[in-house]
Amino acid sequence: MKEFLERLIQCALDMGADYADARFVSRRTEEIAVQDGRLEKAQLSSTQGYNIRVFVDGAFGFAASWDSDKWRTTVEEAVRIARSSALAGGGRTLWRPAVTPQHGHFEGPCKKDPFSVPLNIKVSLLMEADRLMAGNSAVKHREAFLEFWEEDKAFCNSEGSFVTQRYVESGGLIQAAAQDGTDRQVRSYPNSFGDFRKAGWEFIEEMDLVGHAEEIADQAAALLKAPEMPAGEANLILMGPQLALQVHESIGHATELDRVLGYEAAFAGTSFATVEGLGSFRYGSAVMNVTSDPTLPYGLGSFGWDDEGTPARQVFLIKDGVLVDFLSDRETAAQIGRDSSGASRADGWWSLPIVRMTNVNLLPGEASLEELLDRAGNGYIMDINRNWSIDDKRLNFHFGVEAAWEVKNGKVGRLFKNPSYWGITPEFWSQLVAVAGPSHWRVWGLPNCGKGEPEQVMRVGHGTAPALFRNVKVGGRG
Amino acid sequence: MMHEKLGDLADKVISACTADKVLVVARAEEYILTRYALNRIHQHVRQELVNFTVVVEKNKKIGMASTASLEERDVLSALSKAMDNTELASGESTLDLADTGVQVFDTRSQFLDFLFHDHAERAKVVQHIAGQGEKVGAQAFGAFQVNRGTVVIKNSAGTDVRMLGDSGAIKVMYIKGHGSGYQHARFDSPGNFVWESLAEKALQKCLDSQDPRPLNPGRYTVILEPLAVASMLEQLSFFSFNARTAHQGYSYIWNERGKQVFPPHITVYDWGMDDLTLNRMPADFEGYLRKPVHFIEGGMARDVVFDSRHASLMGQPNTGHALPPESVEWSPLPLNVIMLPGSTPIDKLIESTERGILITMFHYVNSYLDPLKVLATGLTRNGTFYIEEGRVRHAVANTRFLQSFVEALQNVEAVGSELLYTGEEFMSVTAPALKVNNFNFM
Repeated sequence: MKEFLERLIQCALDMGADYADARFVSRRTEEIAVQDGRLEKAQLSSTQGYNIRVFVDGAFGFAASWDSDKWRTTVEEAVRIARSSALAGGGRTLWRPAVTPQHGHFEGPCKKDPFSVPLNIKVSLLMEADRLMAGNSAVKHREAFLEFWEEDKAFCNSEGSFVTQRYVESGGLIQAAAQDGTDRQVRSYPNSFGDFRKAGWEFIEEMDLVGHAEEIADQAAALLKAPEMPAGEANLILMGPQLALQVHESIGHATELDRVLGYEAAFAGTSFATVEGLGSFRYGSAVMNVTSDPTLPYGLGSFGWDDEGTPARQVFLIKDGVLVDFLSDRETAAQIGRDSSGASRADGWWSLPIVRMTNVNLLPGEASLEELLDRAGNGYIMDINRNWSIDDKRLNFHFGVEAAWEVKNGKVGRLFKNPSYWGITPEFWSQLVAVAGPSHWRVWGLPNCGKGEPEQVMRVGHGTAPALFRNVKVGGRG
Repeated sequence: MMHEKLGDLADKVISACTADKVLVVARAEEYILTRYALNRIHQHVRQELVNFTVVVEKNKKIGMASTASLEERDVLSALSKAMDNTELASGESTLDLADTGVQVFDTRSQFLDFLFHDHAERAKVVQHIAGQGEKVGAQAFGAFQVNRGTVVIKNSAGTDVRMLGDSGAIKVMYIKGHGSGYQHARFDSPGNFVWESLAEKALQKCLDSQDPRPLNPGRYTVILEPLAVASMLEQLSFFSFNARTAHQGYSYIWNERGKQVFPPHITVYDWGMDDLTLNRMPADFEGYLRKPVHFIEGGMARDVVFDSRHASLMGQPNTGHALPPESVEWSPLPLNVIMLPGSTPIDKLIESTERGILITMFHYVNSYLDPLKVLATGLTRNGTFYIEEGRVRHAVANTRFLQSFVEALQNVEAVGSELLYTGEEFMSVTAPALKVNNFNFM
């Protein structure tokens, strides 16, 4: 593989490139899905291909192909594309000077190879969860899935780097929808998009989907009879899965430097965060500490090197409530005179690496759950996302969640349906009172982060623990 | 020719297969994307992808495997893996095979072929768009994309469908100060490659949207431009116009079929070969020919789209709207959605409005809050304006709405006369402007 990638790079340099990098990625996936007692999907997929990115006369060009016999044509196209970019100002691209060449191999954790677990075991697990959810007669629709990834990739660049990485990812979901004709209520476990880790079959065993099937079916049914969430301002405890999406949408995307600089303006949008605000902008309360950390052992956004060959490292994005850094790649970091944070990622061999989240984490505090409830006094607990929306500057957000529980005098009380909460990002984070301690903290895997054109779907992680916010606008569907 | 190569490989798989039934879906796609921001091209990429999927049924058990290789050994390996899966799968399933015969559809154009290969020509278009903005101190952002694809669907019942097509899309956005303007359209010929007028319109919106004022929460009459209507139709397609949600009991259209639940000037349908759609595809990814399906006809809720699986589950005719096998959990879905135009130009829609909001587009819309009513929340973006006494008075800040799109269609007072060819990624949407009463802003 090294020889193949070096051949691409040498060819690009011979054609006049000032810099070139190339990746080869081979991926195997298995998806199994059960709906309403039927096996709907049992698919094994494999894909492999390569790409070359070149920097010519101050502009980038990129080409990717599955066909390794056409490697020279692919390189030629990348160079031609770069040269044409210069016609429309592309030659003004800044680029971070050479970094120390990287060498080595990264291997993600995997105790039990999920691909070696027989399909009938996987289907039986999902069928059993489905059967248990069907035991509640109010549940009209059930879904369950398992998904496994195995990826090998190699990166090489004209600065002398050559690194290889190999990892396995595993995840799954069960979901029960109760319906009475006029109302539909859903409960999911462990999260509404599923949960995923860099791990093997051991993570599926740890999730215990079957053990939670009856519980979520009963909760979905109970939601049908629950009162509508009342509107008002309230103290709010967000549980880990919902807080993970809150971090994702209002911190992760907002601190992507390509958005801050305007590169994504015409599609995903920009950001309220500014380069001028680095080191001084108060993003939230003093208990707010946020990192980008691809070195976490099982995070879906973990790696050894990003897709530009920058080594993984922990970077504080927000420290004691103040914005201190951005997620960046070599190109965007060069615009503000910093080093790349190591967040250049592509969703496959066919895609150009762009600035993406790694594991973006709200660091734990010290509180116990009892202390959070006690400090909330009266308010609500909200858990697991149902609907999500945020504006193009990542300021004005609105989240619907699956369920809310009243907190009264520090005790958990009634269940409410159709809960929502909304706010403006820095105001919301300034109302953060406390984050639960390390024993409640874990990294949630989010497999479906969309960004870029053609749209790339990235797998990222978010470490969170339950957290308490004061005076948040809450309500139901109205 | 790529379709011959894909067809030959499909034949080899079908010949080698010992299952009761086999379906092959083989695709080759090429993308070129010229993306620009801050008046310059910042991403410029070309992608070539293939996907070869084999679905087999043996003893009422289904297995599926795919590969991104066109080596004979790899596609036969995919067949072998799919067969292995049938040995291990539990539960009974049925693979319904199309009997469409031999069909070849070639809708490719020389014009798009030229734009695909001429990187400098696309760069010149971007250069011109940026230049127009620079004259007035605005910065240009957007994308210029051309896709070409070949789909071959063959099965053991004799179906051999080959579709060769292409499509283009251009997106123009300008930003100046606190204002922005945006336009997006698909194209497939010089006649609808209207990038200059799109740029002109986007730039004017940008200049007009300076100094936006906040909007008080409440219900307003809105004039939704075609891009905003397209977002609404995409949400309705996902939540209400398909047999997946109908089967699960939450498709409003299916639940109310046969009832006059919308105004008589509302007609929305899907047909992959209609003159009013782009990205034409005559067959679905199971090889069934796409049939026209009216969701709303003259205000009456009519029907939803089906694939073979849901047709069988619900005892209804298959309309030919299956997605590719790897997307079975989202199938079926309409991919060529068309709303018929009315007779009122958008200027007249504005003139007839005493007090209201003109909306260019929506941003980040989701409707899981109440799928039965398609209760959506999202924001306005890139050109929102206050109308008073029939005239646009001033720009309005991007504002969040919380609105059932079913009720919004029920509150349509008038339909615009001009159509826009748009839609993101895989879904082509042809939409007019709408005048809608009682639209709710938070």
